[in-house]
Amino acid sequence: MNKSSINNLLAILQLVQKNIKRWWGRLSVIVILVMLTTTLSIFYHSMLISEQTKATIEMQRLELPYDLLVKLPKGTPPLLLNQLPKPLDSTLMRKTVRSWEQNQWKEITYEVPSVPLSFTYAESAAGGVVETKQGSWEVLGIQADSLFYQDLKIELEGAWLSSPGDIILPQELAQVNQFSLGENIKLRATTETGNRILREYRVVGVFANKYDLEQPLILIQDAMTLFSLKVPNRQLLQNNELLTHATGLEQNMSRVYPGASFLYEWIGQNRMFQLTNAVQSPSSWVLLLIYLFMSFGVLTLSLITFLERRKELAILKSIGARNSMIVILLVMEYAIAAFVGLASSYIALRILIPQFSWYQNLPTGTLTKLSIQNMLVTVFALTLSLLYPILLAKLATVNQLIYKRKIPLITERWDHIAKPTYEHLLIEKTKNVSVLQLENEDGKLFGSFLRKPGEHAKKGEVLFIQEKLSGFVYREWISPCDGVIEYDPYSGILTIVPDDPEAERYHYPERILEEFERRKAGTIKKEVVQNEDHS
Amino acid sequence: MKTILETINLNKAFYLGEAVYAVNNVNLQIMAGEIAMIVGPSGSGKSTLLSLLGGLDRPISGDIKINGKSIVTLSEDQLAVMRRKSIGYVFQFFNLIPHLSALENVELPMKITGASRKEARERAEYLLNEVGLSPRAHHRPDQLSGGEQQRVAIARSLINKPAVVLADEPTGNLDSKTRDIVISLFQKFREIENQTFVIITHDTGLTQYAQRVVRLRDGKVESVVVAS
Repeated sequence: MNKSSINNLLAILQLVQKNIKRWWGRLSVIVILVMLTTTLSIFYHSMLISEQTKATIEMQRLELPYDLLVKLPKGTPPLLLNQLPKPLDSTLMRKTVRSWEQNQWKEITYEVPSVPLSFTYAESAAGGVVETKQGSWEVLGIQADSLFYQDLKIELEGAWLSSPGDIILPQELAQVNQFSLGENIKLRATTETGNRILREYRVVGVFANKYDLEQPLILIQDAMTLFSLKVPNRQLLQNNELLTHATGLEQNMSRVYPGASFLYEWIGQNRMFQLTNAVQSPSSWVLLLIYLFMSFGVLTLSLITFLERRKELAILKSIGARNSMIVILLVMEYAIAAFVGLASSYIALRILIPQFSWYQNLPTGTLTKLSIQNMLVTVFALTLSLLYPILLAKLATVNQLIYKRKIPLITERWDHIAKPTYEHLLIEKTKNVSVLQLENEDGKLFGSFLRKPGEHAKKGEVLFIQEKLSGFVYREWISPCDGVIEYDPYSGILTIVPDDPEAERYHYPERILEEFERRKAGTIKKEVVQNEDHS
Repeated sequence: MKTILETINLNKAFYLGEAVYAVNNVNLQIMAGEIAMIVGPSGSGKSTLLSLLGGLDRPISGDIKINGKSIVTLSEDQLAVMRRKSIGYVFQFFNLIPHLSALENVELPMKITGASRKEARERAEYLLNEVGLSPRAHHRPDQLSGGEQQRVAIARSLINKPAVVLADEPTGNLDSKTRDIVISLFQKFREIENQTFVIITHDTGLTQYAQRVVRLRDGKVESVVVAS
């Protein structure tokens, strides 16, 4: 950077300082907007993250004897093992390979997608909800020799299920209702057809330990009778790697068992994730609204300020300020306002958030991460709000800025037709003229002639001007040569009859000319054939 | 004498529902070191012509050459650089930056060129002294009278020693005494720096100081009188 550039930068800085003094009210509003948005969004977001983390930590896994319990919909029989999908999505697993290279063992560890394993074992079961004097229970009917309950049998007080009418109660259920071994319990079930069936069961066993599901167990045959089932409506499944491939379990199984519901060890955590995601989803809208509020505020302020500062920018341009200087000037003013807003908000959050109990559950680095995220959104909003003023300041002439004239974002100048039709080229070739196509609708022109038809125009002179989209688009049609202009109001074709027939004019690309010649040859041939037919 | 400013078939029209020509086929030549005055009734296109010469607006056709170089094809950025080096502009309504003092307004164009703060300050102080405003140097435009603001604007236009100074009614807001000071200032700089001044005026009494008087009517050059 040479001395001149440094001096130039110093001049800009001095001007920025003066401008901040001049526009301190507006810039203060931007500071407050940024500060409020940042504080609100980060505070709200960190509170959500904290609650989500807490809920996930507190949610315990179920202790189940099986890996998956499928509650089948009405009339759906359990499928065979080989008919079931490999239950889950694959995950990335670390794999280490050892090789003997250059007299030493070398280990390379890389990640490979794991292969989901099929279910290894399945048992049919039956179950449903029954009414008792003590309330509603969900009972599960299993096979007497169920492999899933082998370990639980050891912790059983009393005997295992052996004959029809036997029931085993979970410990807590037995204690609360003061059931003892040998006691009879009446269970009433409502069948699928609406009939009520009442059966009496004898308590043969009580589980010694806490049993997560609180489900009394009966024999599968009893359950089939009680619920009047023709096929079992439950399936118990085992898969050695169910834990590894957690994702997609329910989706994959729902493909073979549509309408079924599932029970597995970490269903609680899965449900909690779904729940927190469901809460997060509207929360993200709230955050979006907060950001939109800021963006809208900054955008409006920026536009109002620009309209008031048009003259100031025009003066700068008139005394030789380049566009880059104006950009630096505006960006620096806004950057300083944003920095003050962000920094004060960050300090406020650092003091405020630790005062709340939920701060303890906030993962380390969350505040910094959210602050960076918020800073990026703020920078984006400010860039967006500066884009239009910067673009206008770049495109506008000094007088357009001073006298608040319309500043077209798109300026077009045409001395030829962009896509000439056959008819355009035919006129040009046969009459040896240049043509321009004006936009007209039912003979009405939306624009103005600067040289009226019949007048003489010089090469490069503007013949017709048009403003579109409230002045955002400005178009000029320019004479390609010296000549007299003619206008056909029906077709909108403006013809320039050159003073010098040899005068150089716009040369259309070869491709267009070839297409014209091809069509012309075809037309002549057609005319000849028609003439021969007539003769 | 060398031609410093030249227009060739210059046209400017405004689109006000229909096209209105403010400058119509103007051909003009101004020589280096001249004081040229453009006169004519209100609405004759004087200010528009001056804006075009200063690159503050764009013609719809024709050419403008400053020191032999065309400016109509330059981008806004190139025009800004050209103005910085070659043109000083005095607006009819001063157009000073309201939150800068008179001194800061005058030194700003020089600072933009990359000159040091000291150099810019010295030159600005010298010019403010020349226009008789040294005691008012630290006042903001809203604390200055119309005539004083006009003199600040003149000082600002001279700071970078441009080859051409374009002034739109520079004496319109001045009393006769200050008017004489400003005119003699123009003459002084013309002699010292060989600068060219193109001045729009309603004041026919001023034309006695001009080497060239261009009379405009309805956007067209009606007459050009060159002093012998």
